[in-house]
Amino acid sequence: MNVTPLVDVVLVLLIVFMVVIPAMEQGLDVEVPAIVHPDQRQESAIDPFLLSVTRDGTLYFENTPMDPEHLESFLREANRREPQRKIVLRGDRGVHYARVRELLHVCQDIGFPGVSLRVNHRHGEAS
Amino acid sequence: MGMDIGSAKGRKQGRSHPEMNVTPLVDVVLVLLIIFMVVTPMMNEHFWIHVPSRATDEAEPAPPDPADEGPIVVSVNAQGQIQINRDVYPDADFPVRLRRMLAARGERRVYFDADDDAPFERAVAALDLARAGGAAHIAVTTEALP
Repeated sequence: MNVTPLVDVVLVLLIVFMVVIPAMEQGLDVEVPAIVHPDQRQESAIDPFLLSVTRDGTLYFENTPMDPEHLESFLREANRREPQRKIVLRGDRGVHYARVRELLHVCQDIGFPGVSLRVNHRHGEAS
Repeated sequence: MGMDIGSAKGRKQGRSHPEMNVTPLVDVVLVLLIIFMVVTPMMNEHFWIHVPSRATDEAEPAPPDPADEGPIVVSVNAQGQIQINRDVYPDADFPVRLRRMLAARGERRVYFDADDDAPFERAVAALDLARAGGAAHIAVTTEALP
């Protein structure tokens, strides 16, 4: 019995699902900037909060859309519940810096134990 | 089919139908493909920045504008050019200049801000180059610098 076509089809289906499911989870169209020197350490056992800004400035907290007016109280509440969790800002590369600074300000006000920017590692160009 | 005639004699005895089994090959290749497709999106990295906490905010000296022996302020203007204390440097020179300035002052702390209209990508690129230039401690200001 020639099973090659069967294997082909099954594995292609598997690939399709593996690609589509994370895309559905992440859901939003955020293209993070790529840099050459990201932080190497991944020491934190606690998953940080994830705050995303898309190119058009829409806010997402852990993949749920957020009303900018409610963001601060929402983050404050999240921080109060789990004060040890840090926060990661995932901003689109095209977003205006004013938006990012605003969010950093909010994070500072609330007092998250750490703030980081989500980036991609760009290989090749050594400094 | 011409080949069959030539090899008909040998074929009769052995009944060997040479047929390549590509299933393992396809298996391996597709599994590799899957592995890469899963791993690639996970290559998200982080860039930890220092946002001074509110409590110590007053204790930390506010970064004043280009005073000569003041702190080093790295900024990005609206055109996306990188500046040190308001002087524009090309991307290629910036790490070298910053390294020299840090060495001259004997510190590794740098303040960072970007113009409201600067794209986030350029701001992150500046942070990246600042790190390449030896800035160990990058404090991102949360108020726009004058």
